[in-house]
Amino acid sequence: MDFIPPTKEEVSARFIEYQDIVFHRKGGFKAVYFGKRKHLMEALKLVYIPDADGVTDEEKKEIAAENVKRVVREIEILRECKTPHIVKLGSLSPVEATIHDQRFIAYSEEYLDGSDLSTLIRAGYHPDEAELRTLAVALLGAIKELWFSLKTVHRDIKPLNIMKIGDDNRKFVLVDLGIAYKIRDTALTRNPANVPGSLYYLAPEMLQPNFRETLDFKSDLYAAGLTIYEYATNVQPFARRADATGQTLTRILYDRPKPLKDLRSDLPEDFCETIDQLLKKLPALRPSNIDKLVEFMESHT
Amino acid sequence: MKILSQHGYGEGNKTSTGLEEGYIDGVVFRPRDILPEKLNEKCEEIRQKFKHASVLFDPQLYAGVLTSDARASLGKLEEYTPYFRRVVLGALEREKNVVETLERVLLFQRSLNVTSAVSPNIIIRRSFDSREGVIAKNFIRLCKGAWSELEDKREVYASLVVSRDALMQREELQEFLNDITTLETPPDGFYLVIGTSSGESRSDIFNADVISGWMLLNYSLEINGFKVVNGYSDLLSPFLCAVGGDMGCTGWWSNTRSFSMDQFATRQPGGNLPVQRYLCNALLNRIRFDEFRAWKELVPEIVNDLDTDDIFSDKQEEPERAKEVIQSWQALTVLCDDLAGRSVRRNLEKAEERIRAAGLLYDRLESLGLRPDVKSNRDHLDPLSEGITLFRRIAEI
Repeated sequence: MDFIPPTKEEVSARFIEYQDIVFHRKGGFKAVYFGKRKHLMEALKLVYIPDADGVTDEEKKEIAAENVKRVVREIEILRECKTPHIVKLGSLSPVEATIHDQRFIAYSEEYLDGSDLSTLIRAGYHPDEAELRTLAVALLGAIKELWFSLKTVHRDIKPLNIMKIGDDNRKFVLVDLGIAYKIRDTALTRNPANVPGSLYYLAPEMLQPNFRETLDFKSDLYAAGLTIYEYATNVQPFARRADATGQTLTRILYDRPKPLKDLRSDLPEDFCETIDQLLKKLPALRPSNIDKLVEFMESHT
Repeated sequence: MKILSQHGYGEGNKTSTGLEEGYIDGVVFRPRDILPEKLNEKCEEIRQKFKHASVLFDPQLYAGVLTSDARASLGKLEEYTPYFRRVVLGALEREKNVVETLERVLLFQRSLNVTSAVSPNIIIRRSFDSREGVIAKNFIRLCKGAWSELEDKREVYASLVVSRDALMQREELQEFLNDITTLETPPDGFYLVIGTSSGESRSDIFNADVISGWMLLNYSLEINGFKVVNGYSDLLSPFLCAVGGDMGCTGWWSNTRSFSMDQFATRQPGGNLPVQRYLCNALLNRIRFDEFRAWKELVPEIVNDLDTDDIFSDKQEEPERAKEVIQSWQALTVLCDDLAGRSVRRNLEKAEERIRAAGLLYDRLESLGLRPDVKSNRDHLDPLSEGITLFRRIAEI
């Protein structure tokens, strides 16, 4: 199912309205390019629509249709979002594009000039308390908007999907709603046993059978807590290079991360406790009153 | 943490005395034992005399849902015609009926001088994962909206009334908790009542699963920003406040110290008055007044060393019955103050230390040949200790 991201020349040839295209990165089903359209920099996204193997033509069509729906859903959610803490759509409306016999849906998002948190973590960056609180407020704002306005769970909050940008009023922006799930929507994952999301950031409840029936924003709160924890400490508490997937899943279900205070003794105790609390295995033990959480985080910024 | 008077039959001036002395912080009235016209008079009186007292009213709707027996002992509850009527459970499966019930009950409370309203609910008898659970959740989900419609600025607490059997089903409890902590229009707090199968049996409540479940409810609700009032929590109040509960309640009869639907069963007249008991903080239990008197010289640690110890002095043949509860209230308030610090982990460590110390004290009594009676003995300590251990495991503390 893997795909080869088109070269910048191929993309430039297909999207002639864009200039100075450069390749940015490739994800599971997505290739991202930066380019200027009408002198404004944008992120051009090509979402790969795979051609399923070993299935009938009829099934192929169904699978392709599902994948298109997924992209359309992401774009619809982005269009409805009002918060500055979620990436905004760009000028290119969704359009189909076939490049080298590979089928894509292309659309654009605003260009975010900055760095994702994963890169900063790898570089050993050490954020201070004020920055961690600002990050928390941004993520809480995004989760609140997604859940209370759009009944949507992001399902893939992690350092790689958060951009730190140079805007003082909008320091952190959540991106990639590719697997966001609208409650009461039809699931767009063909095998219901497949758990969408990034392994290390999966909330424990997402590993339970029929998790979709009970899924809510507390899974996002967990992933936000984990992201803040990792950004603060440069430690992903469940990741071990040598671990098989099964071992990682066991860690997620049963291991308690070290208290944040043990790794960042300079941070206030109540801040550390709040982040630790977001990492509780039981969703009901995570604080879910977002307004109160924001109030708490803002009380010291 | 505050201790409230759990109102019941024969109140006299017990609540006022408790408030005057500063041993309690308020009262939860129940319609079964007070006439409507008297209720507001009492509320007014307390609000005027004690500006900071919490005054609540448990509408006891649950009694009307389950009591199909026309002879059932509903006491004065049936005088509450503005809202109370017997209903069959099935009728409440319709959301419209739930809303109407909420409106009736809350409208009645709007006219009362209570500090916060308490919305009604049914009792979940067998499982959270049942039609009772669904109905109860609807009552909780809809109560804030119904209260807001009345444009009253006071807070509203949702009742959550659960049998011990339902509380012991951990997975269902956890799912239910998750649901009620993610409501779009949540209540301001919860009035929690855990029902036993028999109000008399100590082991019904002193059970590790029941204790851990009750603690989990308090902890989770507090974490999620709710205030929690524990009805009929009596001796468990300090342990519930250790994990985030705001208030615990207890009263003067056994049916105000633990809750059972039995109290609405048809009653046979007669019966002896119970033996009066001293609440001994060191033993985390009540002991008979004659045990207290006989043991205190030999084992002075059983004396709380509080003002209300005098109530149990040897000056009279028996302590003044109306004052027994006053001693309980003061002792519980002191225990709560000790166990309700800011850190839940530290509070639990303290609670565990107290349980260990109580065990040693029982050892000492036994080594002196003193044999506590069946309600005074150490049977509560193991479940308490196991309950806390279990809670810590579930709550990752």
